[in-house]
Amino acid sequence: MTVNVTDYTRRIEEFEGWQMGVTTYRLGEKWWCVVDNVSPGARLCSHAADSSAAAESHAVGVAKRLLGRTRRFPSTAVVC
Amino acid sequence: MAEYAHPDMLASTAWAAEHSKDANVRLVEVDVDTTAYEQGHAPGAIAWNWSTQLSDGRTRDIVSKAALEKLLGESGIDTNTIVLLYGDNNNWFAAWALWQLKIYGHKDVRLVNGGRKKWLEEGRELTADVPAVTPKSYTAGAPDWSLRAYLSDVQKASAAKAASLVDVRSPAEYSGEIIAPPGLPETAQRGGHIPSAASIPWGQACNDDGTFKSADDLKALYGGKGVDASKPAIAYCRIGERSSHTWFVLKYLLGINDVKNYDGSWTEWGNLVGAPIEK
Repeated sequence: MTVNVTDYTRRIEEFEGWQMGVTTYRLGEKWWCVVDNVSPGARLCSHAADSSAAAESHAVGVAKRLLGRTRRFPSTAVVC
Repeated sequence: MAEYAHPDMLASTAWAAEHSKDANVRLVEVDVDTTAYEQGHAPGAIAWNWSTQLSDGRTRDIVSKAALEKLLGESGIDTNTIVLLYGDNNNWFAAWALWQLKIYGHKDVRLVNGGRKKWLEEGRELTADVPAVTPKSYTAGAPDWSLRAYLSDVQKASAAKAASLVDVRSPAEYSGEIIAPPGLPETAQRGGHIPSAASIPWGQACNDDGTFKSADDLKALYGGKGVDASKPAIAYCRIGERSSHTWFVLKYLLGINDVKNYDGSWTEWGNLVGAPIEK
């Protein structure tokens, strides 16, 4: 059995100075949301739910937790 | 208008859709998110797990010849099979798989231009059905290590500026502002880049839909940042999969003869005691 992806959207959101790519689409009865970190474009998380809002809310929440843990080092910082 | 040096190394999504079930074609999905295939994949595609099937499970190394022969045979691939590779994350791990198949001499392996992203964006069919595969016997070639850079190669290239060193990571990783892509584990003790490396993020080689830019645009991009087509080139990233993508561009689209992928990449260099680092 095959299904086609429908309602494919992608947008960029910003969180604490990091860009997130939020891609959402419908596959059969489920909505999928995949979040990446734009630069460089690595996948952070994905989630499926019965609505696009639910899928996005969960996936974006996980992505924000991951992004919030990213350490930044100014050029003069000493890394320990 | 220039052509790609080896346009036969690419397949369009349309071509993949039309030929994925041909007897001499095997479509393979290679994702970083190994659940993506189960979610739905191109009809006729099988899945490879990049971390368990395309890497050595004990030592940090690529897949062994014996393990690759087993994988390809069980995938219904023989030496005459056209292997079409695609995947999520902008085809990074599909490119990683292609690099290894080329190391072991597979004749005809191609990247599906745009990967899974383009397949989804185009609203193409997906299925959860796993195709039945008739195993075959596969004998790989002796490994061609000229496609791979080791630490000593990179140390010499950096010190003597004897090769174009291409850092394909994000600008923030290159500068050392961050040690790994935002949201991912750091896996290195220090941030920055290898001395004399040019920053050419992998994504600058692609259009918005994930397909590769034209040959003219790629020439302008890499030439404009100091990549000399007459010299060897070495691409690196964090663990070697983004740099596989750029390795593919330099070698097969731009036709630079001597291009190596430094799969040790920043997780090796950034953890090495005494390794020089620029920021």
